[in-house]
Amino acid sequence: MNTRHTIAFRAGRCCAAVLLALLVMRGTGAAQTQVMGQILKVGGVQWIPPKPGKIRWKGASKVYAISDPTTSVTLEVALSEVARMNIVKPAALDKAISDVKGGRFSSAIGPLEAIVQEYRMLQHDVTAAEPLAIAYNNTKRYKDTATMIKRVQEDKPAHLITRGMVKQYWKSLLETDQYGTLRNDIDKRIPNASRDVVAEAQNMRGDIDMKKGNPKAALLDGYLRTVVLFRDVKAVQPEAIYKAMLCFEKLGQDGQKEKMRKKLLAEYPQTEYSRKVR
Amino acid sequence: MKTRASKSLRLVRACILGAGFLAVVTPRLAAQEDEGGELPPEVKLEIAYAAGLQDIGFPEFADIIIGRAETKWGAKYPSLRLEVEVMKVRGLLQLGKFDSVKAIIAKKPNQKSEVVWALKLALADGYYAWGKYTDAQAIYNGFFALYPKGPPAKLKTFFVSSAYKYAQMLILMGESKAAITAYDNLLKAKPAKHVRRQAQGEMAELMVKMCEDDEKLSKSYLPKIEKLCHEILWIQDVWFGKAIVYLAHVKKMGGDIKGAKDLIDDYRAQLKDIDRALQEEAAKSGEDLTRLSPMAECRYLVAVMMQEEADKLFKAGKKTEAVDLLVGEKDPKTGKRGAGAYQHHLNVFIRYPATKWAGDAGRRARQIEEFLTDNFGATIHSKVTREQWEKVERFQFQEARSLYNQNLFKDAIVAYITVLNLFPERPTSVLALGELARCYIETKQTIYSEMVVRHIAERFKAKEELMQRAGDVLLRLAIACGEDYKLPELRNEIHKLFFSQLTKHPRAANLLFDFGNEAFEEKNYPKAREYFERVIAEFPRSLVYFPAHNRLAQCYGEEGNRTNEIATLDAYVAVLDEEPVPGHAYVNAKYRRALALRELGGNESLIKSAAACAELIALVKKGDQKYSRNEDERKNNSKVLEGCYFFKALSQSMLTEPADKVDAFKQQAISDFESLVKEFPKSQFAPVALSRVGVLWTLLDNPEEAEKALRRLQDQYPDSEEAKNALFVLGRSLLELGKRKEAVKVFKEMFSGAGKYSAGQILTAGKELLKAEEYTIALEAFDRVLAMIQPDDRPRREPALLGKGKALIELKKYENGAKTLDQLLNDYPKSGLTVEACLYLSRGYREMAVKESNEVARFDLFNLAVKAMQKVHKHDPTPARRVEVAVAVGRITVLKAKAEAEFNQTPAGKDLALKYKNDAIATYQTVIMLVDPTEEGVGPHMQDAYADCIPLMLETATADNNRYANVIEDCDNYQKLYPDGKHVIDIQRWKTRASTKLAQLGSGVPVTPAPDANKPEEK
Repeated sequence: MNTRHTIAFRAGRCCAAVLLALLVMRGTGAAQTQVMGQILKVGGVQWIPPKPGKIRWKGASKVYAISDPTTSVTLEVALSEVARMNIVKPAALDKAISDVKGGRFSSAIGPLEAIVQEYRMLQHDVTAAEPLAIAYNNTKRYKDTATMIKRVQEDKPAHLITRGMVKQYWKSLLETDQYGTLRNDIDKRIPNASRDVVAEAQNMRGDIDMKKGNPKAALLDGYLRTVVLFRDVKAVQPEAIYKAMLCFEKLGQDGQKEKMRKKLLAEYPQTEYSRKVR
Repeated sequence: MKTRASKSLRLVRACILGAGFLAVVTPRLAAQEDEGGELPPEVKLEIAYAAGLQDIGFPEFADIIIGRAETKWGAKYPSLRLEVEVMKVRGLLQLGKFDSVKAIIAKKPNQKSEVVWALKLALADGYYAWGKYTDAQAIYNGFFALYPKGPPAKLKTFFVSSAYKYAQMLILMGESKAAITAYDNLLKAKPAKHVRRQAQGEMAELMVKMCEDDEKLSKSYLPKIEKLCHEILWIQDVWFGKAIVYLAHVKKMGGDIKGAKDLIDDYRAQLKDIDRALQEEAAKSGEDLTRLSPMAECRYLVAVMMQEEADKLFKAGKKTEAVDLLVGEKDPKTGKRGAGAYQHHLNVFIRYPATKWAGDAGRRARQIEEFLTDNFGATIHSKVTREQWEKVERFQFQEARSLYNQNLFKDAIVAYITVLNLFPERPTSVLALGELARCYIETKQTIYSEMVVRHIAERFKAKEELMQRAGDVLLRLAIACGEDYKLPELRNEIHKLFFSQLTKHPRAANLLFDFGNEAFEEKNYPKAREYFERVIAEFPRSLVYFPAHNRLAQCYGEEGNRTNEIATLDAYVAVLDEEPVPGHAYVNAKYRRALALRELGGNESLIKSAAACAELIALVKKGDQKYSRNEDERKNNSKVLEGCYFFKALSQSMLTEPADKVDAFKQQAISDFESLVKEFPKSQFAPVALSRVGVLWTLLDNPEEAEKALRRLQDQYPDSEEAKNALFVLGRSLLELGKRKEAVKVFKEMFSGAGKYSAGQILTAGKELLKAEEYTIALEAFDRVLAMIQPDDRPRREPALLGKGKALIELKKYENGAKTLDQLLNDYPKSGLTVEACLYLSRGYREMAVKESNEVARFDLFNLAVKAMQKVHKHDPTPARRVEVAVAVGRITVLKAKAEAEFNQTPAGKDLALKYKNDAIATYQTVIMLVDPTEEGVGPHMQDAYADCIPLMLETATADNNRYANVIEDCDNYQKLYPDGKHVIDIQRWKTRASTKLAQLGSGVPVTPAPDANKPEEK
């Protein structure tokens, strides 16, 4: 190797200490807008600050105020400069997520709502948004899903919006038959959103076109695009391949249908979609 | 094992070429396969040369070389004949002449001879090259079945070459197991060493892939792979390195990750040697050979294994072990970490950018970085630089493009998709997407190509740095679709996408304008308007913004929509007014607005038009440079000035209110016309103006002044049309002004035979009068022409007779009209005017027939009417005319029935009337059933056929004759064919009536009643 690659690696043991500190902070009823964490700037290689410090989102000026615990210096980082955030996870998050996974939606909703509110623009509003939306949708609170997701998305650059969160939002629109809003939202996102959101959007658009009885459009603007041009978004591939297969079937293109079936079986043999076509 | 692999590396150019040899130049195996051959090297070289020429598409030069070789060595080396014959056959196959080759083979006396098999194999190779796999497979299978233990010496070279091609074909067909058998066949022929190694290597690679796809095959294939690899490992070349990789795969598939790693570590020295040799060779040849490096694949394989293992460990909570795998274990003494998956990935990524693993290695390195920072807060100091990414990107795209440039579209598709999923949204990606779309077009996968173009348009439209490139790619593709691929629909679709999605593209406005102009030229004004309106609405800063206004107004003008034309010109004038120096465009727009106002008609509009002209005269006369930026514009403004004078006067001359001022208006108009003639004596309007002055004086009852004006016209502008046709123009002007009486007087004077006017001029006047529906005067004109000309003056007599006949028919003088037209058709049986004459003639006879009470005479007259229509079809056999004629004949027959009912009120008469109705129905049904309704021009007449026929069917329907059901069927057909047709309301009503009747008869079908189903029958 020509270049010497030195990796300054710090094991996760320190995280536990930080987490404890956060718990103490939250336990004392600290203001919701200040949490512990770090920011990685666009093009940067080092977290700011090097150790988690207090971070606050200043909505009016759209900047983050970060204080370095070792130097006590406070820096401001503009939202547009943020590549990633590493905010210490709220204590209640894992339990709430586990509740959602376990179908205990009503017990998860309260804590998740609190996280979404307290961590606004501080990473975990997005983390909590998806499970909260799942909980809302499963308790038929579709309107709440839409309101909450809209709020979480506000001010967020496209790369910080996650596929899962958006998917739940679309689901709420679908359930309430808001096809027009859904289609507009999808069309609006595709030129700008991150690739995984776009791939999901295309699948959803395919679903709408299929519902309208237009398999060709479902392929062109939906599934086939995801299958061919968004292979890197693996999470949505099995669904896209399977549905593309169905579209080809509807169009009477048996050769293409078989091609998709084989692809599904070869590349994603363990998925529910593969089981359907075996 | 290591001892067996010689350290003296035999890695020379020939070996590298050998590695790619079979894959690239397989058809030429015969020429290079030396074992068992009996030709000397110089002969083989010539054959190889000819083969090369065939490969690169010069079969004619190849023939010359083959011919020379045959002459030179044919007698000495009999086996050369076989080679030559095969080469010739290959030349034919390259041109796709399969039948010729089959004929050559069929002529051979012994169909089981080696010569025949050599030719058949060449034919199979030809089938393979042309993608006719089934045909190829039949020959290959037959041949290999014939020699299960290997070929005879004479056929060895063909056997080896074909076995290899057959294996490749089977891989392409997805028949991997059969491909393995084909490789086995190849090995049975005991080929040259380098050929054998390649076959073994590829076979091992194929089996590895098969095992990865289907674990069940591992049991039988893994030992085979190991056996093959161990044979390969005897010689140290590129296949040696690949064998290590395959063996590592075998260990990995067997779950022995450590074993796989250790294996690669054990052979590290040899792999490095190969690597070094490749680099040296690359330095000599200038070609990047690192893509062949087995080291890259080995490191990538190890890295992937470690990464996957780390993932499992992390999920199991073994975080430290996972980290060790990802970034290497820590040396307890130095504290430094060794090589983990991350370092291996980076190594492959940075050092082997041309390999197919580089891109994925880079992506995986990034994944690890993110994993470490997200889960452990690690700071990675050494990141992949942008330049490094760009280098890999460049190499990866080059690889795909090279396949595309070689027209290997299927392979290019695979390569593009791989690289596009690694670098999906870079500037190069957009170009690559365009090429991917072309690959899909080339391979006839249109739905895929359409999908790609839609993606390009949608995904990049909002990305400022890529949008322009995306637009350029789409536009180039659209051109290719139109010109090269002949896919007008896809071209239109791309343009549609371009205009709807890439509205910020710098060429969007100009293209919209160009498309508008194209539509305008095709007289598709609504379409043209769409484009121009978009330019106006979306591109106010573009250079075509003003011209688009201008063109939009022209569209409305051409459509005769004066109101919108004026509104558009108003808007145009308003935007030009905001310009500091709008130039002639402003003057021109105002002028056109004034003309459009005049065209609008009506007293008020004429007043407005005259006022607009007056305003413009004042403006232009000022000579403001703001409106005439150069000499050309000054001249153009001067022309406008002439026009303003003329049209101002013309408008005034046409004013009819207030009645007490009409004469004053005319006086003013005369004055303005005179001013025009005085100021611009050479103006194109001057003779017209004088002609109009004459007309106006006539109207003002001043014949002296009128004559003076017309005399001036003839003196000053003797060559003008107005002067030549002064009376005609005067008459026509009077007609236009609604002064019919005065006009007739003038025309009578013209036709009086004073000798001033030629027969041609009078004929023209007659035609014009016919158009103006002035039949009586027109008749006079035609009579005058016929009196003036000689009987053999066909150019004038023929149209004069037609005109006379038409005028007579229009004047309801049917008998004379029919007589005149019959005369025309008799005198000129092949006349170009036959169709027009027959249409009128039929009308004449029909009208005579309906009034004829004599049964026999009536019958004859109706027949003559039908005959005339049949003649129409004979002279114009288009489907549209056929239907038109059928409708006319149907209507004549219906009239016949009516006349019968009217004049013959006996039971026999009633029967006859019913018979005629049935005849009419039959006539209509013939075209309804037999003429293709999609033929050009058929639609309107076909709709009439339905609309005429259906009421007749209803009228004649009974419980027994099934006509109600026929009516419903015809109504359904009509609704399907013409959902917006002109008779659609009647059709629904008739359908409802027929359904109701059927229901009453007990066999009805339910239909939705039309809203006006109870409306009385109109027909």
